[in-house]
Amino acid sequence: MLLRHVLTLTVLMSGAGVVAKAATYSPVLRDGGSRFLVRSLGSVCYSMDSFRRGLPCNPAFVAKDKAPRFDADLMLGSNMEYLREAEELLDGKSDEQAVAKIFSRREMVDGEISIEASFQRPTWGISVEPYRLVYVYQFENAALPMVDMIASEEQSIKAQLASFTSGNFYAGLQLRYTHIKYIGNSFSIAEAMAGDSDQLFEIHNQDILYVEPGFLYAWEDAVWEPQISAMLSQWGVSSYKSQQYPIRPQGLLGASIKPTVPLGLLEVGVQFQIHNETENFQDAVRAAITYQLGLLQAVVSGSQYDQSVGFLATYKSFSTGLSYWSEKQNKSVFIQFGVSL
Amino acid sequence: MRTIIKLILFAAVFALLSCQGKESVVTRESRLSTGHQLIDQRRYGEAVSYFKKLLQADPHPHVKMALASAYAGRAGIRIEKIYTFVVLRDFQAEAVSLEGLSLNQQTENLVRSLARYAEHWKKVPVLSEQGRADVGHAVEVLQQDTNAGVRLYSGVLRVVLLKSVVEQGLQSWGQVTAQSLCSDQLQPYFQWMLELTDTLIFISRDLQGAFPDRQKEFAKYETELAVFKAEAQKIPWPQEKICF
Amino acid sequence: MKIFLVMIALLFSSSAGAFKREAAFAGAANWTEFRQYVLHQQQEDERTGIAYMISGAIAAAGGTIAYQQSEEIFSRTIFAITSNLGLAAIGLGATYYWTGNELDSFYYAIEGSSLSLAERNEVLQRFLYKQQEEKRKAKWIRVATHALLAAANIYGATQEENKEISSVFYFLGGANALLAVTYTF
Repeated sequence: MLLRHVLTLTVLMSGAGVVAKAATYSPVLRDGGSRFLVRSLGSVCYSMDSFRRGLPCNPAFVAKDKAPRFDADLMLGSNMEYLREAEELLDGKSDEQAVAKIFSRREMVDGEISIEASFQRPTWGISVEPYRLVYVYQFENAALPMVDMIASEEQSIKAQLASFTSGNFYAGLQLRYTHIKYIGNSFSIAEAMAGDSDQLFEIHNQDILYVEPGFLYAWEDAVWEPQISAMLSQWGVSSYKSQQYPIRPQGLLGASIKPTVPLGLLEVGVQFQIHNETENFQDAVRAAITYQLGLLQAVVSGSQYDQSVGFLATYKSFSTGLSYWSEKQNKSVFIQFGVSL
Repeated sequence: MRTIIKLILFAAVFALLSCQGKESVVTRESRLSTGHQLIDQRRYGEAVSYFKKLLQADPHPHVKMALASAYAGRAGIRIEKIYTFVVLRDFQAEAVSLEGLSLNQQTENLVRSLARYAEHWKKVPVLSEQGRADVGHAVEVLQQDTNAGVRLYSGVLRVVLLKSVVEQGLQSWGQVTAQSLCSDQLQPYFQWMLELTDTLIFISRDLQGAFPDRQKEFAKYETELAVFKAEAQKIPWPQEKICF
Repeated sequence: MKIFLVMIALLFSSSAGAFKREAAFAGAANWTEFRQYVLHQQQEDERTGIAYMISGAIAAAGGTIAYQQSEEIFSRTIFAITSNLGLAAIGLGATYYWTGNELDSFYYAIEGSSLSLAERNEVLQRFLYKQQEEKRKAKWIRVATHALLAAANIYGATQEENKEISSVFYFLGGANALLAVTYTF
């Protein structure tokens, strides 16, 4: 079924024509972190240690985390049913009940499928994401539906290098190259059904190279192991300027602690995320808590706009997890299967 | 301590870098979205006023369709009722029973095709007088635009309008035929039929704009309808009152 | 979905190993230090065992309840897997708690013997030497295995006409090549 969705989107991507104008992906979908814990922790992942899969969000952590590892993950967003309904609607295959149902909720729906493998050694790491499919659909206007959609296919490679001075200060650099093939447009259902609808689905290709430095200062001998971090993410150069994949650098300042608990590992983190659309202090704050006990890791994170709750179960080299994420107009379920060697 | 000061300095530089060049976030899409919300909340009157103002500033096809859809929403046209016409999809309708009839294949196909269209037709809502006025306004808003989607939407709205006019005419005809029928009573129906032909001509034109690759096919229908109308207008209407 | 199947296959292949925890004493051949290390490891094993048993019970019960409550197919799949992992984790936790790690048997055998400290140090030295030798051999076996897997998958990728399947082969080939290189260090 998954492959059918992917193929349908690929077919959908085979048009040619007009200049696209549609929704922009949220920063969280552009920051290249397709890992389940990145999605669950949100921006707080840049300051937390409880992140034992894939490369860390902040490259400075590569020098702190001494354990070498290799892991591969498959992550799926579970809005597949909605995607199928949306495609049938746009293909003209829906019936009256299905049309009424799809417009009974007015919310943005996004989804993601990603395969990523990463390899980490003390002070460096590389990660390859040969396939990532991201889509966002939004329908509005029950009288004549307008579709705001973007669907993209990405291939990325990431390299992280880090070092430390005086034991507690770590500095790292992440180089991230992404090739993106996407369609994105805003159109009415009448335009999608009219004779020249192929023009709405022009494929765009974009190449982006991000240069993302990160820093970390950790009081590793203190009781609760507090640490503070800084990172500049999504700073780079693009083959061309687009509304869907803009170069919008964001600064991240965060801190985390690990309060002592009798059993398991508890970590609490907070992050300030500043970019060109940040208007006030509350917009920038996000907090997260993770608790790891045996095979389970529970994650709760939230900002004033969205909340996420999830768990990851790791048994030997296999891991699986599920995360619910919701905001005002959008909610998703993410699932993951992973292998660590 | 010096390390921490360095870190803070880095952070300050990051904050400055990341706050560069604030872009305007008010786009056509966001303006349209504001009006669409009014439609989704069924505040059609406010949506009509909102899109009228927006249309003066931005005569984009999306704005025209949004205004037309606000009128259509106020007229009670729900997308699920007209969706099959928008997508021009063939329904698997119940076939007409043709057993015992000696029809050739061509006629049988025609009857089956009519049965399918009858299924689509049944779903199209019948409008009130105010609703017809609203859809009339919607069609006016759309009439000058050459965008294929606009033309398709215009054609669909005309079909809705056509059904209401036909239904009203047939209802009235049922009342008239209950009594004795005279030529002076028939004349308005003759005019009504010519108006319906005009609507069909407009629909043909809309479809030519909506499907440029099938332009010839729809142009042929338009020509045939125009010929039919011209032939009908040539028929002399009797001067004296004739009753049947 | 093929990737998913590959991952499941990898799970079972990598889970087929020993159930006991691996433990490696990296210090000098000194019985006193070794004793401290083993006793500390035993505490760790017990702690880990309890953590696995508690979290396994939560995962098994929570996964079963959530499976019954959930309607969406992906969520149901994850809850079903989590429930199974939970049950497996209870067993794993119990093993850690009651059987400890692979050094325990050696420790108790020597600790309960009448050997002098000098003799114990000598036996420990021989044991650690043998253990390191075995690890070295295991390392090169791993290198050879992953190199072979890499070669087979890359060859499979070049022969496969279906682009989707060949990319899966390339992915596996690359991953195994990377692992082979890693194990050489």
